Amino acid sequence: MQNEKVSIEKDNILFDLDVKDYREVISTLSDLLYENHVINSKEEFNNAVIERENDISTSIGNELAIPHGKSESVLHSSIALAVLKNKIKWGGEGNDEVKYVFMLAIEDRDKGNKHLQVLANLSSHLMDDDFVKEFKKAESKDQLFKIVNKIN
Amino acid sequence: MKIVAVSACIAGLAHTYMAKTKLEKEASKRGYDIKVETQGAMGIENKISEEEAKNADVAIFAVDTNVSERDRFSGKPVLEVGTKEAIKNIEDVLNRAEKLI
Repeated sequence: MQNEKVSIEKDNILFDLDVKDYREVISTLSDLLYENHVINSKEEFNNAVIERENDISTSIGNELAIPHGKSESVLHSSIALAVLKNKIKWGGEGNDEVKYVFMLAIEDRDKGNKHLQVLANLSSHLMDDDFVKEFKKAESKDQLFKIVNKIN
Repeated sequence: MKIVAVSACIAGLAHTYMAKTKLEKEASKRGYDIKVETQGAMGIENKISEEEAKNADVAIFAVDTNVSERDRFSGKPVLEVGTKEAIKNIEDVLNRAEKLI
């Protein structure tokens, strides 16, 4: 069930994900979104995200990255979150190390609906040091879910 | 100091709103007036009027794409940076904007 108040569904959160590079994070999260019926093509969505990443890396400092893809394969705009077991170097962006990955799946025809607003709100909150500090303290998927959904 | 700013990125969602938040925070920290218009997936929000543009001391474009209705800012000193610069090095962006006045 899609709840407009929820910015990240619990099923779309991975905690302690063990991966070796950013491509593996993106493909793991794409698989997850596919299983959860957010996207209808893993490959197409994955390619859209990688293409965007090659354009300009989405590492934003503070151990955060926000890969995103806008694609016809997205059934409803959503966010997936992965907290990595170990920090990894993110794409071609110098030596940025990333541990928290918010991946946004954006519907191609999505214009101005409520869910988009939720994604935009989350983006703003990632600039709030207190919010970031709080979710970095989370020690489980349940805790993360509560913290990231408190913001609306 | 009065600042008008426009933020816009390719997908029009994530970087646009992050750049807006960073600009607003840093400007208010420095005691400046700022209005940030977003040109994103939800269209133009918090639109800057011709009057507001005219009264500003400087314009900052934090954009990875073209600015719509750019004419509003003609004659103003403009600092153009990418959204990522605003997100990662906001202090530097404001320092550079100060130098344009």
